[in-house]
Amino acid sequence: MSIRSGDDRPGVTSPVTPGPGPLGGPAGRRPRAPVAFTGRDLAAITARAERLLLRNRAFLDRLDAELGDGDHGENMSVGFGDAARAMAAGDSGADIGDLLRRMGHLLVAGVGGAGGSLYGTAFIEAGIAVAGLAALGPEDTARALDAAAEGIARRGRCRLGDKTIYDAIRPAADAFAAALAAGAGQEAAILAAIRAAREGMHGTTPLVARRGLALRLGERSRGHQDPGATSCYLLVRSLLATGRRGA
Amino acid sequence: MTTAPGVSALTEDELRRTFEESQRQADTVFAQYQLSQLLALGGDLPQMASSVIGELVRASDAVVGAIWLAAPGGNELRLAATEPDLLRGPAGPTGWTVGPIIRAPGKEGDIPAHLIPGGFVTAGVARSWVTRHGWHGVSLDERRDLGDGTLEAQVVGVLALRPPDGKRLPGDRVRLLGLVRHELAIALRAAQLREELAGEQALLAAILDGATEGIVAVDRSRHVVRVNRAAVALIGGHVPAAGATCEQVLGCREGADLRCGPRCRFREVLADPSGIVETELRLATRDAGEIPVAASFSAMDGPEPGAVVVLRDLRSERAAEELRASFLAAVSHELRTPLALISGYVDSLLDLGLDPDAQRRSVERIGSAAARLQALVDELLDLTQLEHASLALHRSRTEVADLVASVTGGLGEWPGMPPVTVAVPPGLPLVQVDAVRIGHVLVNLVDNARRYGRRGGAIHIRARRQRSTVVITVEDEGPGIPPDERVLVFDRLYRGRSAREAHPRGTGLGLHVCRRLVEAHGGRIWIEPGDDHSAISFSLPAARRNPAVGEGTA
Repeated sequence: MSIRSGDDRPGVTSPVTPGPGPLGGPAGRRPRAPVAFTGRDLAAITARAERLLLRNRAFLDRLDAELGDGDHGENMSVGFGDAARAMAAGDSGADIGDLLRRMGHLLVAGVGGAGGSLYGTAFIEAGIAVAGLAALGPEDTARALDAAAEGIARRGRCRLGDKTIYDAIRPAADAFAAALAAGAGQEAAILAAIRAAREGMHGTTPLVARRGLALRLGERSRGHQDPGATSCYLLVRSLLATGRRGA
Repeated sequence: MTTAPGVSALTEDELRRTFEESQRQADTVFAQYQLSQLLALGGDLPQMASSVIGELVRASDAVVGAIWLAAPGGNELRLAATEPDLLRGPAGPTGWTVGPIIRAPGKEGDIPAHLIPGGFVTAGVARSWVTRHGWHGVSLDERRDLGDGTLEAQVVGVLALRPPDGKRLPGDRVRLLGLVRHELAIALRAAQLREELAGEQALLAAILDGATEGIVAVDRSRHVVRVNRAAVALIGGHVPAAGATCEQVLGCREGADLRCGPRCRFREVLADPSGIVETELRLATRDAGEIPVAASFSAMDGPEPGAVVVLRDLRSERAAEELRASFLAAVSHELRTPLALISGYVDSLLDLGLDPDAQRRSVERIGSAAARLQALVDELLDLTQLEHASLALHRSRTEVADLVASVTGGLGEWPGMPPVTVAVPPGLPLVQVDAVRIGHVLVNLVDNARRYGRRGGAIHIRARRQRSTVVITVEDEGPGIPPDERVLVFDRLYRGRSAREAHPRGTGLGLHVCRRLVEAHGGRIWIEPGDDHSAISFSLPAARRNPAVGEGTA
C-alpha cells in the first residue's frame, strides 16, 4: 500500500517535481505555490491536508497498527477535519501567527493520541515564530517550519533517527531553508521540502523505534514505516497548492 | 508582542516566564501521557521495565536510569532494567550492583543483620543509597486502601535516574517522577503478578500432564474446562472440543455406572463441596469398550467453582489380580496332585494287605511324588530368590558336554520320556557356570519340550559356539510358539495360549526361572524363529582362556 494522493499513483514512489503531473488538476497545469502564505492560503492548506489524510486514513491506520495502536489515520483525519472547518469559518485576514497558534490548540484538542500534542505543539511554535505577520514570505515560512520541527523535538524528546515525525519534519525544514539560501523561490523550496520529507519518511522504515508506543517492539519495529513521519509528509505535501487552489 | 487586556499588567518578562512554565507543564503532561501509554500496553516484566526506564531517561535528559524491583514476598530488590541497557552486556554495571542484587553499603547498623545479604531492605534505604551516589531516586509503592481509611504502602521497587555530572534533575522532571511513581508501581506489580501466574500455570500444566492418573475438571454447569494427557488417553486419545459436557467426555449414560442425570457424581460434589466421592466406574471408550477405573470426585474452591475427577485405570491392576489368582490355582493344583497320590498310596499301604512287590511299587510312587513336590517347592524357592536378586551362584569352569550329559543321564528314568539326541561338537570353550543351576535350566527346557512337543516326537539338544558365547538349543517337534508369544513366555506366570488349552497343568514358572538363571550368568534366552518346530536357545559366556579359577557369586 502506498500513499494515495489524487491521481498520481503510486503516489509515494513517484517523484514530486514541478513539471506536469497535476495533483487532481487538469493535465499540463503546473502546480502553483503562492509567493507568500496568507490566512486564506492557510485555510486552503488545511483543507488539502484533511483531504490527503482522509485518502490515506486506512493506510496510516495500518502503519500504526504495526507499530502502535492503529488509530493514527483516524485521529489525524478527524482532528484536521475540525481544524479545516474552523479555519474556513475563521477570520482569514487576521495575524497568521495567531491563526497558526489557534490551529495548534485545535489539534491538541482534536487529534487523539500523542499526535495531537506533537502536531499541536508544532503549529503553536510555528505561530509564535511568526507572530504578528499578516502573510508569510519565504523566509517567514522557513522560520515557521524550523520552529515546528524544534517544538516537536522538545515535546517529544526526539532526535533524528528515533523513527518519529521528527525524521520527516526536520529534513523538510532544513531543505526548505537550504533551497532559499540557494536562491530558489517559495515554490521550489516547498518542492525541496516535500522531497526531503518523503525521503525522511522512507528513511524511518529500517530504523528501530526509540520513542512512543513502538519502543516496546525494539528490534521488531525495524522494517515498518513510521506512521507519524508518514502523516508529516502528507502535511508538508499539502503546502503545495494544486490546480484547484483554495478548494 | 501583543497582550490580552486581562494580562496587560504583566511585564514582557513575566509573560515569558509564565509561557515557559506552561510549556514545561505541557511537556510533563505529555511525558506522563507517553508513559501511561506504555504501561497500558502491558507486556512482560523485563520489557515493561526497560521501556519505562528508557522513556524516563529520555524525558529527563538523564545519563543513566535503573529500576530495581522487589521479589514478591521478599526483601531483596533486584535490578530489573537499566538505560542504557547494561544488563545485556557481558560485564554488567559495576559499582552499583552485585550480580543481580544491589547492596546498601554502610547501612548495616540500621537494618537487622540477617536481612543485609539480600540487598536493599526498604525503599527508604535504597533511596538514600542512590541519593548518596548522586542519583535521584523514588520508591515505587503500591498503595492499598485497607477499607478503614488507612493506606497500606507496599514497596514494589525503586527507580533512580542519574543526571549528568554536576547537575541536578530539573524540577519538572522530579515532579514527573512524583506523578508517575504510583502508576508505575501498580503496572510493574501487575506485570510481576502476570509472570507469577504464568509460571504457576505452567507448573500446574506440567503436573497435570505428568500425572499418570486421568484428571478431568468441569465448571459449575459441568462443562469440561480441563483434561490432562492421561485422561485424553483413557477416553480414546482425542482432546474434547471446547464446551463439551462431562457426559460427552466421559461417555456417561443414564443408568450406566457413571450415573448421568440426577445421580451424576459431579452434581453430588458440586451440591455438597465438602465431600469427596470415591467410587469405581466403567468408563465408556470411543471404540465402544469399557475401562474399569477408580474415580475420585471432589469440588474445586475459588472464584469459579467447579469439580474435578481423578481417574485411575484399573486394567493392569485387574490383570495382575487375575494372574495372581491363576498362579495360586495352578500352584495349588500342582501341589495337590502329588499330595493326593502320596496319601492314596499311604492309605493303601496301611489298609490293604499288599504283597511286597506292590508295597515296593507304592513306596516308589510315593517317592517320585515327593520328588515332584520337592522340585515344585524348589522352583518356588528359586523364584523367590530370583525375584529378590539374591541368588547365590557357585561357578566353576565346566565342559558343556559334561553339563548336557549330567542332565541326559538321568532322563531315562522319566516316565514317558521321548528319545533325546545330543549334538555337542568337540572343541567348545569352557563355560564359567553354576553347573547345578544350568543343569536345572536344561532339565526345565527338556521337560518343557516333553510336555508341549509332539507325542512320540524326539527332543534334540545341540550346542554351538557363537562369538564369545556357547549357545545351547533344546528343540522338539511340537507346533512351535506363536510369534506374538515368543517374548512373553519368559515372563513370570505367563503361559502360552496353546499351552493353557492343551495342558491345563503347569505353573508358568519354568521358563521364567530359566530366564532369570541364564541372565544371572550373563547370558540370554530366546525362542528360535520357525513355525514347524519349537526351539529354545540360551547363551552362556565362554570362560576366559586361563583365568584364576575361582568360585564366585553373582
